Amino acid sequence: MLQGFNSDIIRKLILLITLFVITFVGFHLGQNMLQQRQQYLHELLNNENVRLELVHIAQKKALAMNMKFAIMGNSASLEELNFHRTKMLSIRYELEKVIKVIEQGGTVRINNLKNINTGSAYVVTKTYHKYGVDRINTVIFEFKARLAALTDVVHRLRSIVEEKLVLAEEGITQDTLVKIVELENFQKVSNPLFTSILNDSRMLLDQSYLELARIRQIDKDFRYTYKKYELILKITFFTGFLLTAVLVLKSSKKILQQMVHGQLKLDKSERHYRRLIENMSDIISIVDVSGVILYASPSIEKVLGLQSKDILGHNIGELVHPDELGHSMDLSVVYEHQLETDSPLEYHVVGADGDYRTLEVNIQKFQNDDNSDGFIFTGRDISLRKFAEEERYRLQMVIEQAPICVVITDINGVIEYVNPAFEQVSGYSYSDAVGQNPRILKSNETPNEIFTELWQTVTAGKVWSGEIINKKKNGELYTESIIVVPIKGSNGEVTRYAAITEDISELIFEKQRAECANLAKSKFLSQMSHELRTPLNAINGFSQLMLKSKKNPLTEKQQNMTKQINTAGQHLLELINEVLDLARIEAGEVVMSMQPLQLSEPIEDCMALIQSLAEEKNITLKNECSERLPEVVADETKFRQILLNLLSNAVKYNKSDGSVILRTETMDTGFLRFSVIDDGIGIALEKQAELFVPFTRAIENPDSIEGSGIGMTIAKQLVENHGGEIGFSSALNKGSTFWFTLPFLDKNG
Amino acid sequence: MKILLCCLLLVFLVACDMETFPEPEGEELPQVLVYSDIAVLQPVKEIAAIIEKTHNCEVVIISSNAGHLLRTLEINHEGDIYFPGCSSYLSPLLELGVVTNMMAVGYNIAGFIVWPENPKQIPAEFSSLLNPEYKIAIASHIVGSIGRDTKRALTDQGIYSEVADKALFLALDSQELVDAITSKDVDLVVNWLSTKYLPGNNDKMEFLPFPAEHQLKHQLIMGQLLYSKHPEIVSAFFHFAITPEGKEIFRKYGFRN
Repeated sequence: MLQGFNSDIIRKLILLITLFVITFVGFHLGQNMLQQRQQYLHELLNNENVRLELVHIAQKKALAMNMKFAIMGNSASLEELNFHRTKMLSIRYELEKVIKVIEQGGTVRINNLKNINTGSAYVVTKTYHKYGVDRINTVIFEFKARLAALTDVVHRLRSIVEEKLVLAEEGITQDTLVKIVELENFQKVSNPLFTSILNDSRMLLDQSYLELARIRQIDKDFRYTYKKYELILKITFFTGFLLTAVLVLKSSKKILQQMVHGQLKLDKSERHYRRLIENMSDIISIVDVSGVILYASPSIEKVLGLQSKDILGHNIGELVHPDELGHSMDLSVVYEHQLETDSPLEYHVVGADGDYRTLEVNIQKFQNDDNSDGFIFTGRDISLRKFAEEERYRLQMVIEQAPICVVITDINGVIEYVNPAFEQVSGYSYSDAVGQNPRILKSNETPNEIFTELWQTVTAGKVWSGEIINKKKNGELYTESIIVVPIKGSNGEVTRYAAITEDISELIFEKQRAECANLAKSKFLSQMSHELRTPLNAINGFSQLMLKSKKNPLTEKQQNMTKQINTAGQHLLELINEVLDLARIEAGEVVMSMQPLQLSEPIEDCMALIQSLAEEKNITLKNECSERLPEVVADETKFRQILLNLLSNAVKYNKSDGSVILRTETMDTGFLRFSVIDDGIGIALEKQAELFVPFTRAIENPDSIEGSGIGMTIAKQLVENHGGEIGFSSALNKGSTFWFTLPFLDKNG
Repeated sequence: MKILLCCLLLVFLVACDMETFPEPEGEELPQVLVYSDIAVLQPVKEIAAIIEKTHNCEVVIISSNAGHLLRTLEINHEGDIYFPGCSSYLSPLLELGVVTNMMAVGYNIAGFIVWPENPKQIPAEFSSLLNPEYKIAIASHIVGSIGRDTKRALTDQGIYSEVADKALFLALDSQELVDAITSKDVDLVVNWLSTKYLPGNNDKMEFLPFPAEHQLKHQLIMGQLLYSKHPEIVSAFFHFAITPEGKEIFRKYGFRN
């Protein structure tokens, strides 16, 4: 940063110095230009002064010629005439030279000039430089033409004067006078020529004055303009210089402030990012190109249990499972591999406890300040996610491979998923079913009320179960046992429905067949019992009559034999009655006379009936029922039959000196629960499942205790006919507790 | 900083504007030199102004009598157009090949010029020039076209020498004759009709034509010189002079075409 500051200041200082140098050089060049131009203009002025002098000389020469012309006309002799003529032509010659120099530039040497003060003659050499573009000077043009015309004029004058002198010398007065008039006329005619020559010289003089004035004006304007712009430039550059200096100082100060501000900002930013990295759950690590760890974020302790300072300087390959990489990593190869696969890499990385975690790793390449390569590793512990994924996979496999059908719909009932079992059962493929409504299975054999109930239930967020007759893709009907479960999202709202169905067509068919068989069996039993009971009543009745007959008393031996006949007959009759009851129940022929029932009397009667049997085995009977029992809704006879069955079993399958306790308990569900508790032989665990199966005995040695094995079956059927439930808990040799519930009368409702 | 430097550069460039310091050498427009007789000076000046505009040039005019103009171009060997008031000045140049092309643009008519409304009732006769009651002036035959034509006309009448002797002075050109009339130095001069049409002259003189049998009429011809450096401008000058617009200019100044 300091380097940046210095370079910036130096750059501005260089600019300042450059500006100063440009200003200095600019003024120096400007001064030179001024001097050169002023010198040039001065030379022009001198040159024009030379021209002016030449014009003056030309004017003098013209005047001299005019005078000589007049003198020529007055010459008294031919010698004098020739002298003046020669003189005049000489003047004209010099005048032509002067005019030529004025016109074209050059050097002219002028003789025969006379000093006004001393009267002495002198010679002048003048040099005039023609400058600028070649422009037509009409005055010089005409001047030269007039000088040319002068030759003829002088020649003519000379002729006239010569003729006049000759005539005068010869004394011919009249002709002389004519010549004199001719001479005067000629001179009069020639005068305008000299006038023009003098005018031309004056015009040349005017030209020179004008040119001098013009050049002086240019010089003046130039100096004025230059001074003005010089002043403006001086002010501008000085101001610019000062402004630049101020700007340099200000910008330096600003840069310094920016640098301080930037440093603070950088510190803040670094703190920000450090805090960000240090609080990330992912591991961030910087390694050099050889894989040596240069930095590891503190999250490595949380993920792997390693201290970041402990792994600095280690090769990152040491952390990776040997089967995956070995102890060294060619990071460039790994990086390229990641770029090719365009997906994060997964490594098993060892933690401090020696266990391996699955990390999802991203590698980014960067360049250090020294242009060497470095890598940033970002690692995320995905062990739990992997476990969850496996778990989900397993569940998915269960669903995929289960024999039951699974259908998932969205909240509108549009099918989103069906499992293969569904495809197999319904005949609809996955692609057929997805996007459709379950109505595709509707057969019109199931009452609409069922569907109404189904939707009302599941839309209320409850589970519905039932059976529905559906139609397969091929039109075949089948019955399904269905459980429809609303699936709720994280916010508790139902997001979709899952239906678990099972084709129970076969089962129903079998059940119906079994029920038919059972019904047939019951009818058979009923009929057979009736057929058996009639002769058996005769046997029992006549055997009792024989025993009680006083008219024909039996011998003792006959009595014993008759008693055995009667006892066996009674037992057989009881057995037949029980079978008949079971048959009636299963046949649905039992008529229940449900009515409000006061329980105390039937309970006491039952306890009294069992009392004698209990006393035979020295078993204590305890009635622990509440004195204020509620009325129940029951068939009294059937109630008595149930309670007697349980009490007699408790006594029958009890040990000597045991106890039997009868308790009641009022339940919140509106039922009264009766419990018969004994401390008898109990029921083995493996036998408990068969307790309510007809004709099965739940004891180890059935022959030791008399019983048909259908008492509990009848009791269960009777309890369920009352709308109650029956059950038990038992432990072998520790006793059993049998219970059943009956709905009690709700006097309030 | 960049803006500051730009401002400084702008000021520097403005300061270096060379138009601020004009060069003393002057402009370099092409120059066309016309030797114009004083008699035709006015139409030549008008046409020259038009040509200067249309051809972005400078037309320099030397105006004097035709003889002086002839001598001037012979001496200097420069110039583009020679336009004498009398076409006889072109003949020697044609023979020498100095005039390479010619263009006739009209006629000039000579006559007597007197004061406005002729207060002395001077008759339009050659004999008036010899009348001692009138002060007269004529042009010198040496230098000018009007002088040359006057001499020829008066010689035809046999009175040239007498008239020259009587003349108050012999003018170099027609302009000096104009000056003499307008200043009322003389009562009668022989001059071109066109001089009356010079600006400001119309109400200062009266033109009296020569008798019909002695009418003096000169064709006006412009000649392109061998020395011409800008023949294309000369050509444009010639062609413009014979356009309706050019002819109208000549008529405006008393010439006929």
